[in-house]
Amino acid sequence: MLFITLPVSLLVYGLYIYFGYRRDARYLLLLLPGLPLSALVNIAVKAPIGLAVGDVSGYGVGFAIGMPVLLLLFYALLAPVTEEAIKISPLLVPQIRRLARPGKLDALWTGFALGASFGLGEAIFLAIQFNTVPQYASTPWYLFTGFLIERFLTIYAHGVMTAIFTSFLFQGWGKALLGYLSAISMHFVVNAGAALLQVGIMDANTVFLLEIVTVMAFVVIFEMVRRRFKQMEPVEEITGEVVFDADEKEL
Amino acid sequence: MSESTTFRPRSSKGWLWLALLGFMLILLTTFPALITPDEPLSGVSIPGLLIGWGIGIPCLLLAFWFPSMRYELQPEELVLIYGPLKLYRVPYKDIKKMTWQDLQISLLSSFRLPGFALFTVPYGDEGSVKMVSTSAANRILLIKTAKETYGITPADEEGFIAVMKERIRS
Repeated sequence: MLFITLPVSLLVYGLYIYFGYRRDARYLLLLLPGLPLSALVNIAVKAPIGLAVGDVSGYGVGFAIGMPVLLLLFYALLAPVTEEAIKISPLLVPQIRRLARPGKLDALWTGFALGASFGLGEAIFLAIQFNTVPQYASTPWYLFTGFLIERFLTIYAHGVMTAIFTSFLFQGWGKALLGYLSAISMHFVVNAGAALLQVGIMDANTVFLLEIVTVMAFVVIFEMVRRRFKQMEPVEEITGEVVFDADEKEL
Repeated sequence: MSESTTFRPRSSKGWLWLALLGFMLILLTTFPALITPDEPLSGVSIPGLLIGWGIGIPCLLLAFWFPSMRYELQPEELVLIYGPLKLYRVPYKDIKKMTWQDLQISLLSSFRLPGFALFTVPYGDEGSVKMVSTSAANRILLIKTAKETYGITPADEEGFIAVMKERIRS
């Protein structure tokens, strides 16, 4: 199902980024640098930390009923804290940072593209992971339609979370921290369904519906922020080719 | 000037995108049920089926009606038509401005695909636009009234503008 998920997501989010903002192809290239980051953060950061804490606590890795609240909170925050940080790491490259610097809208769209890029990489990483599990590896591809829809929504959610972070990033340390915490909080909400599924409190269908509702809320948040930033930009005098104006009657 | 004049939109492959989207949604949600007849709902969720068919069938219907999209300049108003639906009526006396514009897309919309935009579509720069067009965002003729903005894509651009100006003046 990855071979459908990837091109569909690339096409849809590529068109969204291109036509959603300046029609500048450079923003499309931002869909590339985040591709390896999910594998990197999962293998080199989350797994070692999770394993170490699991060993020390004696509860093993992952969520389980009966765990101390602090440990539950630790696992719930591990992915948001590490992933939201690494998603903006391509901004260390000066050429990418320059794309995000001119204004708030630039920062917002650069963040969206970088987040979506991370989401695409995560889809690839998860597909490889699934392939190593015998139960999933032997399942025909067409039974993974849930993967397509779930990943498609998650890629958008990653884009919005990073967009919110980057839109605060260049406004001083205090606001940058606020942006980071906002992104972490949103990520926490997105992951809540999966955590509840793991501990057996929710079934898969409810979690799926919850994700749809969450992503719809993200769409509203992103579009509201985008509109607000747009209103803050200087108004262009001529926005199109005027062919009739009632005040001037004839053009 | 009592007769109606009809203008067609410029051509596009919007119908193909609509049909593809409709077929894909229906197939992706139904196919697993068809190939496992012993357990017809294994691998498919009821919400998934509802979403697949609920959006897929209207998409196929809109693809079928796509060639009937047209702009009718009646004596008193411009009527934007899609299939059997007379979607919007724009009285000439209400028109304040007409501009050609490239729009910035937003995700807050349902019926906008490459080569196609229908119903109220929010755009990043213009806000909500009532669209009956064969382009999602490129070279849209925006017709602004005091309350609404309409977006269309006539094939004969100069002819359409000339007749519109004539009707507005009269």
